[in-house]
Amino acid sequence: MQTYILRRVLLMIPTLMLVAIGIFVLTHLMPGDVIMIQLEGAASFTPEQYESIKKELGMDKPYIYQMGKWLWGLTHLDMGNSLWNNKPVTEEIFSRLPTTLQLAFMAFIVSSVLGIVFGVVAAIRQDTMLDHVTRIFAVGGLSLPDFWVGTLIILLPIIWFNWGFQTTYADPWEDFGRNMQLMVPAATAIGVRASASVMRLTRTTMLEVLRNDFIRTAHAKGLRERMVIYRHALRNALIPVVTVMGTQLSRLLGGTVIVEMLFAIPGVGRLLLDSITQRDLTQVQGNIMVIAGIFIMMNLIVDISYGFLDPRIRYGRL
Amino acid sequence: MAQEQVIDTLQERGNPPFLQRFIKSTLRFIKKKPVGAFGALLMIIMIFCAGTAQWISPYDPYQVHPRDRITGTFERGEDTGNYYILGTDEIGRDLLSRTIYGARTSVTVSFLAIIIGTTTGSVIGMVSAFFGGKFDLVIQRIIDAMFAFPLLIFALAIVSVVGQSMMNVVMALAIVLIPSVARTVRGAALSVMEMPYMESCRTIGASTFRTVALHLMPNVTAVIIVLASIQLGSAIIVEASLSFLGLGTPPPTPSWGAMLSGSSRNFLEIAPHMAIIPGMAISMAVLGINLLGDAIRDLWDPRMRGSQ
Repeated sequence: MQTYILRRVLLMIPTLMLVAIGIFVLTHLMPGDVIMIQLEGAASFTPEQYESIKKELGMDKPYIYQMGKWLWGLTHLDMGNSLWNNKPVTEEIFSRLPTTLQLAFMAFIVSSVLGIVFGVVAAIRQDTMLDHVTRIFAVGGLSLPDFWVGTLIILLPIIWFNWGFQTTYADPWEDFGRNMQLMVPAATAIGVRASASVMRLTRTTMLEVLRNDFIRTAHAKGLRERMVIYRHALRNALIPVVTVMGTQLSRLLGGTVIVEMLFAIPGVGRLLLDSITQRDLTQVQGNIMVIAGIFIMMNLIVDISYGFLDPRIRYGRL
Repeated sequence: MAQEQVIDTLQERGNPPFLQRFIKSTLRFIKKKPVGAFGALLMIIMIFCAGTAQWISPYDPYQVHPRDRITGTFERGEDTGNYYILGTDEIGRDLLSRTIYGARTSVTVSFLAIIIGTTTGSVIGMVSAFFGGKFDLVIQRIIDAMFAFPLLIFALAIVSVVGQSMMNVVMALAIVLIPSVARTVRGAALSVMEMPYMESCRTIGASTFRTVALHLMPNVTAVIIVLASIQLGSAIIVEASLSFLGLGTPPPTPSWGAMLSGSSRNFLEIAPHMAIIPGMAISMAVLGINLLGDAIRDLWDPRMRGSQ
């Protein structure tokens, strides 16, 4: 198991490097002049201004030098200074990172708990009313974009009870209650759509597993129903579900950007949007790098947990 | 003369007219996959709205009616006396017309992106599987790196760098779709490469282009089409999300995502319909494509055939 984890961690390094190069290519070599976009806000500009921004961004140097500088900076977490307030990019990101991680983690909990619980219940009570309702919800849930679910969560209480969510963010260490008042609906908005596919897959794999011989054996030796389902059926059904949960991470992280804007939560996604509107290129670059890094890390955790769930993978040649 | 008649009748018998065949196969599809057919109906409505927006929308979507601001649904404007089926927004633009035109934006952007993205991704996947070796390895590492960006963030990043315009949004969406298409098509192509007929191709000395275009491609087409139909849903959602974040097709072009954000948020209490209508439109569109995509996958995907 240790070698497996070590291998996966080491394989992460070349991916991270390629991602860093990718971001560099994206921001420097894509068609569209970044400097022009920088200057778009100004009513008029002189060629000198153009040159000075070019110099400030370090774009007057050859590409290979710029790329080397960006990659070398990354090795000791230096991603340059923000063009907006001249503070180090990483400082701003790391001060906001806990909020986004909390949101993503809560959304992950919402989606997996909702998905697995309802998926299992639908499979056990196949073809009952509960099963049908769950399946309709699963298909419908996939069609609801995060921002629409979020809007409904804000909107429906206003229409029905004439009561709206309070939308001021509070630090969880200072005022946990107020923090939760904002984070719970926000996490739900992200988690609902992600839970739909988890639910669908849990139901299908549960149904398949429940038809197996070893389940009949477990029943035959007189195990309680609960024992059969948790110990024998669920553990085997969860393996493909974990993989899907891994692919859901992309949705969760994309969702945090939208929901942070919707609920005014000061996280990394919100920072990304703000720096895009402020045309703060270095900050955008750093933000995308950090989000991609988190994504790779989360995928790694999913992969490793996969190894814990299925011993065959540990000893396999993966 | 008589000979021609015989040929005509023979042709008719062996090959019923197109319309008749079409109706027959449609009816069979409805009978076999009623839910998928419902999805197809939703899609047809959306595409119809997109195609005929300038004829079926009751008013000009850009026309501002300053004194008919925030008219409720099924109400007449106080000033002009226009009948607004779905009401108006905060500067008095007809919401029904804007929703219909929004379908045009959504369909144009997502379909173009799907066509470009799926084609590019498929070519990359097939070529990568065909040549194998180092070339394949390099391509796969690049695709892996592209996978490290969450869909929406990737699209956001591209749009923020290349600037905002409808074509740029299309391009961003297309690029974002490439990695998953390339990976899936590569997998499918690898299994086709094992087939005896691919070896025969090599034996008779067929050119690379001929082998890939005439023998490899037709055998992965089903996978590509299934994939495209599934991806279309996320393309619509990402497009709407981009415009929701204010980075999609620039205003005043009507777009569902943009209609849901911005000013409609400030009027949630007094005019919830301003948010509900575009929200419903997006959900219906994505629901339609998801239901249809599921049906297509069940019918066409070789792996799913016979399983249900």
